[in-house]
Amino acid sequence: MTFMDDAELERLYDCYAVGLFQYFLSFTQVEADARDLLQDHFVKLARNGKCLDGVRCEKAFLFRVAHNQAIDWCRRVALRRRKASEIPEPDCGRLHDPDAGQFRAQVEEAMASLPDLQSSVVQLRLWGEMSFDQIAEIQGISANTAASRYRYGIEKLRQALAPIYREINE
Amino acid sequence: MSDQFEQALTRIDRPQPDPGWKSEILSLASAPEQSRRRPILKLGLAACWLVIGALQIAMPEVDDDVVAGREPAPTSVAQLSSLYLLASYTKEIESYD
Repeated sequence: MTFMDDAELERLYDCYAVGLFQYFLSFTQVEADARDLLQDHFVKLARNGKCLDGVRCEKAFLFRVAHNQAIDWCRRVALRRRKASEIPEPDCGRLHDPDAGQFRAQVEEAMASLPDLQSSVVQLRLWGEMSFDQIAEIQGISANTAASRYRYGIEKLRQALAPIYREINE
Repeated sequence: MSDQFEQALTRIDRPQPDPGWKSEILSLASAPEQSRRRPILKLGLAACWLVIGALQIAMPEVDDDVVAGREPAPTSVAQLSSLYLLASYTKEIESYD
């Protein structure tokens, strides 16, 4: 077993921890569980120092590993969605007015109400800025499936957020 | 092509990992290396002591040099190789302490 160099591990954390955490959170809906998965992810990386050798796109590779972890987690744990009030409030934001804060809280609630595989695709597409091809590679599905899950997810978000979105934009 | 609604969503900041987690997670991730090696080295040291003990039991004190009235060799080859192994393990353990 070859351990990963500490500096390399830190670089990967700096580059991908935020995205990976949000990806895990799209499955767990609970910050503590997402943190546990993030920690497991980096422990696995540290213990497989050569795992990135020959990898074409390290971002896609890391998210594919994360996806498998998240699916394992979902299988192990009887997932109980927390109520919207229990979803952690984001620590910081670019939007500071009350309407935007309310919108953000409702986005979290609406994301939590989506099926895991839709919310994870929406997370990767919207906030991870990935293409459907990359998402397909990460999740082991076709690009068409990824696109259709995204469309379903966005439509549900649109319906759930329509009242407040209209209110903000009027 | 994303519409206005999707663009509005992208401007929302999602929850972030706590900044304090970085040092905890990275130290946990790199900790197994040291904690895993040390017991192996200690086991190696214990094995050396066992080998030396076994050699002392298996090759007792009949020394041809002494019987022939010559000055005895300091140690047998087997004992020397065991002592060499012991010294290398000890040195390696010291380098981790």
